[in-house]
Amino acid sequence: MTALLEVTGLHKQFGGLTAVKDVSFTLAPGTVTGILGPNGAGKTTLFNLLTGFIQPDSGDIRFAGTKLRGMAPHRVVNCGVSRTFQIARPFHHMTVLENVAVACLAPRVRREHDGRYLDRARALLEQVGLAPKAAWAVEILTYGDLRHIEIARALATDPRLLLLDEPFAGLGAGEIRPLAAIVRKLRDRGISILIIEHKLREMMRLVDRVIAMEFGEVIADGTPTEIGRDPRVIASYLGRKEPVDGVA
Amino acid sequence: MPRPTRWWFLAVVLAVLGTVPYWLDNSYMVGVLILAYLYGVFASSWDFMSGQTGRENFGHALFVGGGAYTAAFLNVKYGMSPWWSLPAGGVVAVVLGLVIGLPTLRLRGPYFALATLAAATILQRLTIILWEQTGGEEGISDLMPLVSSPVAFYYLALGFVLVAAAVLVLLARSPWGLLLRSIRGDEAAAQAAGVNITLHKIGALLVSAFFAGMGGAFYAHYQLQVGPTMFSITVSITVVIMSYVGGIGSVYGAVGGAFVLTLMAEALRKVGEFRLLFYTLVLIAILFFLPRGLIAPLWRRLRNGGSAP
Repeated sequence: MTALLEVTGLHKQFGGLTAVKDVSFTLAPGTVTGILGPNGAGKTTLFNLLTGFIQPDSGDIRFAGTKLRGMAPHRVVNCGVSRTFQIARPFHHMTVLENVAVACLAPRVRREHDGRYLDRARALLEQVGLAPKAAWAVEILTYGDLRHIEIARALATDPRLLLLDEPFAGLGAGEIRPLAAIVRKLRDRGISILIIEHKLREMMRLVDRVIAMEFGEVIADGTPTEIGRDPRVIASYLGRKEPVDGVA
Repeated sequence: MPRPTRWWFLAVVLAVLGTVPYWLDNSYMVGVLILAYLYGVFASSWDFMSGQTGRENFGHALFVGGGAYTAAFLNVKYGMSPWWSLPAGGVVAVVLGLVIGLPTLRLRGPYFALATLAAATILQRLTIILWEQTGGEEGISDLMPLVSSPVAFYYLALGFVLVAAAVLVLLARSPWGLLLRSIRGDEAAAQAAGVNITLHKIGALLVSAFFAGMGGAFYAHYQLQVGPTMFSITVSITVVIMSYVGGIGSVYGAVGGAFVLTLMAEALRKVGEFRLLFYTLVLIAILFFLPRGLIAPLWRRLRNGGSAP
């Protein structure tokens, strides 16, 4: 099967700091891939490069045959790649329904759904369990609810590849479980997922494959079991000599 | 008592304002009201761009003055009918909006705010430098009035502000308005939701400029004279304050803010030289105690039948 996403030699430098260094990988359609690495490893920069928020110094990004490099963020979304943010970024002064409806107005989505953007926003809120709060102002939501808005908004654009930047950060166990269930459902619907997460146990259960990064470089790439045993990953990220509990 | 309260309120306001020339036998006060309506157009058009998208325009006088000078040129120099001035003033303001918006609205940071501020100042200087065409400090006078009778002028101005505000409110409540407000909420999140933020900000600026330009042309044909002060920072800042006092982001609030502040400035003439002091004190009080403004929260309260929003 041909790759859905093909990243070759991606490179980004901020002044003297190389944030992403010659990163290459491919993603097969319908897979869930985790990105692992200590703070400052370049994970979020990689997301910003893939989604057009930052332009790379060199390298290439191809999504389903289309060259994404050089595209503005909204055009990347229109190609079928959507993202969430590490820190939830709701639209303030707007209701929960409006927050999701904005994304239902993306040109391609609107064409495909016959312009019924509010109905579509309601259906998405239903999917993430926020339907009863549709008319609420986002200011009074819990952090967990804001995370669900992030996901509903990303889904509203009908992505084929979804990039989740630490979706579980700041959530308790009771909030992580339903969110993880939603991610699994998306995978079962055939949406490919790239996920950055520090909550290892939760992430390792979700993913088919893990890419480990350190100082902007890919240091390991394999199944969760392989990564949990990789000496470089253990040294850089886990800081322990023995294999990771519950992973290996 | 849900929604009907609002319509009663609106009906009473319109009934009072709609009959002013019949019960107010004071042509000076009628003139003040016309001014209030025109400032209502300036303020609501400002709010359409800056209140919806959150990008502050500190040089709205650029569009007001641009429309006014267009009217003066076409009417006085080229002898065209004053009715041509309204659309022409709007179009010239749109062109000015493109010149300012295209380079600056694609950037983050204060560039748009600074560029609008600078552009209005530059045009004000230009009216002095190019005095042979613009009349310098004196400006251009002897414009033709749009209509001859003061009563007709009153109704024209009232109709103008009502139509402008209605169009802007409808646009703000359309799906497009939702996109504009998402830009104010969070630019990066809007981009991630597929919104072409640069395009929509420029679009909002052009709509804003068009109405301000028409308003400026109308103003010119009411004052029958234009001068460099049309481009002044005073006009720009007054419009911003009116929008804030009315309640930023609601468009109709700006119309109310313009009305209240114009009448207040007039009432304060009685205190003579202390006028500015009082005016400023009242402004500070409103912004301090009613940070959401005076008009927009009132309107929301009416919808909810008296209970808090």
